[in-house]
Amino acid sequence: MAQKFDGRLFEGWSEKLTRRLASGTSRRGVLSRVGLALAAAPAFPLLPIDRSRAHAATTPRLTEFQKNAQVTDDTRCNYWRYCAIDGSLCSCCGGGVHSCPPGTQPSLTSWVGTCYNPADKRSYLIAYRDCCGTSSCRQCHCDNTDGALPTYRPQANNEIIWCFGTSSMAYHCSTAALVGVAE
Amino acid sequence: MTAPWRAVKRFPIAGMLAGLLCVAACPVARAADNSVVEQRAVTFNHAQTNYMLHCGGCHGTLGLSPPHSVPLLRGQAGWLVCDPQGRAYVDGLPNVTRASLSDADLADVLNFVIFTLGASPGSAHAAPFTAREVSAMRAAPESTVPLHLRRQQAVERIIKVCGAPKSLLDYKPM
Amino acid sequence: MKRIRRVLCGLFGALLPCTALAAPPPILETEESNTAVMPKPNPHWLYVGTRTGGVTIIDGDTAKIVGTVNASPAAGFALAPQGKEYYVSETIWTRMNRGTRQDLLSVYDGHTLNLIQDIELPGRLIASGRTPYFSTSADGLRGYVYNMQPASSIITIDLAKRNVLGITEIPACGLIYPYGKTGVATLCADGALADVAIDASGHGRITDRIPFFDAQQDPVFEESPVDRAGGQALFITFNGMVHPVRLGAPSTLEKAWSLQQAAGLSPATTSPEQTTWRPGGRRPFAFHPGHKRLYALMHEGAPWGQKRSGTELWVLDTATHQLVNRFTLPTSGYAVGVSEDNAPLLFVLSEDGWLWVMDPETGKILRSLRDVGRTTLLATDRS
Repeated sequence: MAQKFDGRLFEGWSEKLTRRLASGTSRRGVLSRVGLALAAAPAFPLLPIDRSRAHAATTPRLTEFQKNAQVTDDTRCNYWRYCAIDGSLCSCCGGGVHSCPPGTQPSLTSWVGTCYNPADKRSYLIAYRDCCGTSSCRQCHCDNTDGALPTYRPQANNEIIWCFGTSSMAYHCSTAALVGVAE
Repeated sequence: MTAPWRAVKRFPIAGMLAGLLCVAACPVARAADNSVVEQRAVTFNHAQTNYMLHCGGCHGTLGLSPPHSVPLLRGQAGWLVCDPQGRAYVDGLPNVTRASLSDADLADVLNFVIFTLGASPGSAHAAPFTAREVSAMRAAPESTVPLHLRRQQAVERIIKVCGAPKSLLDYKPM
Repeated sequence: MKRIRRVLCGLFGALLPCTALAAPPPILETEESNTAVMPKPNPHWLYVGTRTGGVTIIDGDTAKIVGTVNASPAAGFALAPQGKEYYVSETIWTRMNRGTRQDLLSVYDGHTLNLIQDIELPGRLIASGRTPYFSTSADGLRGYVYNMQPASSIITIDLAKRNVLGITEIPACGLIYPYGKTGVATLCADGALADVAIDASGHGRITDRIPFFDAQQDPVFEESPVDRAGGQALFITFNGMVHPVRLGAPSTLEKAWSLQQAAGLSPATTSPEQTTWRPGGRRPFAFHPGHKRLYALMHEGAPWGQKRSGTELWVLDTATHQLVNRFTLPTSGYAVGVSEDNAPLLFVLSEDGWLWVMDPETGKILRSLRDVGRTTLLATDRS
């Protein structure tokens, strides 16, 4: 990842900045109201993991990313959750793997991929959600492509703007929030 | 301000609780913290997993989306099946019928979206989707009426016939 | 001249006496600053969009820059036949990163590179520029902008009258592959090619669908090459299966072939264990329809390396499905292009900003240029 330290760093940033810019300022209020109104209706009950069903018994065939993935440092591109991330890591920017840095806002839209955790040998659903609203952080630029698909499959595309609906439109960095485990 | 924080403002006790939780979950991320979270990760059933992978990006992993850009599903999608015309609109959604899922899996996702995630008074008495209905949906020739016009007509009808909320009209993509 | 003077007098009359403009200048300087105009375009010109924005026009015969067209980052770019006009589709905001969003198709004069007109668009997908986000008909009379908000549609523009004609919804499909005068094809989420009929009013719909690939396991590259004039498309999968399609209404699928098999290797699969030569890069393919040559950036690796730069450039005969040549590249290639004339030049750009101008017959490096920037878009013109 030497590239993030040289002059091209700005290029990557500005590309990301603009492609993450999306309209939607006026939608925020509506969304907040809707979110509040519906906050009481959980559609995804919090279920404890059934340990007996963990998939540890068979070793799956690993992709190149999975073979090199590590579980200890979420500020590096080969951290297991970043198997298909495209952008700067919020963990390098004052945020965290699922936290937006101060002054920025998590996007409501995202795309959801599947990453394999080599420590517990299970696959997790990961939401690649961008933090928007402040000039780009520019640190730790990654572009991993496990399972990333072209634009005609937008639900798995890491080049599209996923900042629809945030109050500001500047791309800051990307998170990899853990959504859950597929049964 | 995002929705959860608005909620925190409304309910100060919840806010204090959130603050306490934050001590554990919100500091600068360390991988060690992440593994703790991973151990208590939520498990999804098939329908929920397929919802996440095929719909949850645009419509939101919690079913909450910017309603102007993406039709809101949570608490709202169920209204569409209150009336045959609304249901026909759901049956003819190209992103639904062409999803890379089996008929049975797609029926499960539709049932999750309409009757659980999008549960509303409008879905209370509707019949669940079956693999047979999905198969018929997929075999039917695609409507030549533009999709957004079809939605507008369906939504206007269910507002009139079923008393569905006017917020269904918030979606204005074109 | 007189008229100019009158206009200037009118403009500045309140500030300057008109006699000041009429009199000879009191001070002479040795050189006056002026602005160059573009030389006559030739088929060896290459158009390179980079991540910082701007489209650089490079003459492949000299490897020198002849001009730059203004463009925001994540812009799309197209050119009128013979380089008469250049088109940039882009999104800007009234307050840089906030304020009112403006989606534009900006028309630039090919001779002066001055802005002629901004055509306001009803939207567009903002993502780092890819060829099928913005393209024109083969005759250059119609422009097509792909919009995803996130509902999917095609915005059709009359480039002669410089106005938006209409919007065509393409639900569950995305990207634009125009051909001929009015033909448009798109790719769909279920692995089909769809023909889109767009009428003179810019409105239309999907008419035919041809399923031919697995969009989940082995999708086709967005930057698959299309000969717009001849209507020949080569949709190439991540594994390197070439699906030739004769675009039309309806389009027809021709026999698929494998890049690896053309080189005497086993076809690539999606098995994570299989390390073999695979296509990859930002823009991994270029096609010369007249010479029936496909150029592919190839690297050795496992599946899901679709954006990885190529260490080799493979030359393939699209008529016989045979490998003609393998060139080792001086720096890994991120984007490839070929001029479409009868004495073509091959262009390879690397991630670290090198442009290599190569002889497509021998692979010899003819010229080079450095610090071109990280390529997002690459275009050539047949004229």
